[in-house]
Amino acid sequence: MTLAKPLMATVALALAAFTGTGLRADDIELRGTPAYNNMDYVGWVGTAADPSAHTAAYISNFDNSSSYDCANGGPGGSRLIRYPFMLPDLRQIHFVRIWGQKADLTADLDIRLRRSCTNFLHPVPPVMTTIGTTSVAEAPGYFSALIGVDSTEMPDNALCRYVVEVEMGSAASACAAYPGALRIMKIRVQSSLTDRIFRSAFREAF
Amino acid sequence: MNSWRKVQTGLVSVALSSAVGVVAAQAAPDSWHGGGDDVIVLESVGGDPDFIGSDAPGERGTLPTGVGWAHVFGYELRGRTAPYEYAAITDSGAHWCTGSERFADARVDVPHNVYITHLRLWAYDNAAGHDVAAILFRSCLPTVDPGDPQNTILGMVSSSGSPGDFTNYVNISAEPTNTNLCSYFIRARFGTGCGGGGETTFRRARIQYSTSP
Repeated sequence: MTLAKPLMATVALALAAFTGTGLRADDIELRGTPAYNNMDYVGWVGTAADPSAHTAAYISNFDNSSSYDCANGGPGGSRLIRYPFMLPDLRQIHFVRIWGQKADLTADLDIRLRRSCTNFLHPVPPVMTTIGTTSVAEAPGYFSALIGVDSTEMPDNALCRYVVEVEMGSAASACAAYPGALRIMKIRVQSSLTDRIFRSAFREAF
Repeated sequence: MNSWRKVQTGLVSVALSSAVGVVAAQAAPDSWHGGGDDVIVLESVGGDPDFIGSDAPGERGTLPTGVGWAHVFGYELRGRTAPYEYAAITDSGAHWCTGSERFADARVDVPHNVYITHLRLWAYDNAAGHDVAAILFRSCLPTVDPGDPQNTILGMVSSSGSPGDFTNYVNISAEPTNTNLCSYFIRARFGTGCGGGGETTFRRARIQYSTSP
């Protein structure tokens, strides 16, 4: 019993710290644990990409992983691919994580999360806002890169749609010397719904 | 709303034979939907002006309105045939074809059992001789049995002349969505032979839906 009290206190402190860091870690499996019940994940395989032009050469059969392997083996061709998405109203977007592989002599990766909002009724071009960025350079081999998002970022689905852009260097040189040297394997968006039952959607009584 | 419901229940579906006729008589290619011979075309309906007014922001995200939206960027379009030559830019969402294939499709993420009420297109058309259009398709298959898909055009929006920046919408009148049986997609149609090039671009399409008719 003398050990029980300190043990319980330690557990309580750990739980407090755990919830205090609240909803801002995507590194461990937290689903189903207190304060993380409302986390949700949406993901895509690499080949779900929308290439910016038909000149973006790629393959996806390197190891049956459905990865997007840049295959512009020389100068020229588009190096920009996109993963557009929407989330339900009232979600908070927390993280975008990107898995891939990058070997020697491959183009550096610039990855951006962007929001495109249009005017509801008028024919003006949309407003594009970059929400977060990350880069992958040198030759890490397998990599996992993270974009953190301000916790106030919530979808406005009447006006906006999101997109993760991945730019694989420039068209001035090859993006990869051989298949599988530079590839995107998975994109994951992590979000939370703080009020799952009522969705903060009650109107005021008049 | 009663008049709206009457209009809705009185929708006329053009039968298969009529659709064949439309395709066969496509002397003016820019009126074609690119859907082949087995496409049913639902007549667009003018609708009740009050109902049209519901294509406005209102109280977004609140449950009582039961209204939602799904967007498709131009650069999400995939060519109807390969190889499909195209270009796209992120900032405006614009996509345009650069080869000979002028139709491209993009899936729309529609919830089950909602009423699609509007289709809106944002585009850029600065070529008087070529227009850009968005056509909303429903493609349905049997629950478990094999069979031909039944394709239905739910609505179409097109530019006209050379308005430059352009947006327009059409009311959609169809039964509730059924994602058990059907898929929904938007088909872009560019000018014949991709005429117009970057002067006719598809930027974005949005459908608006409601949980109640």
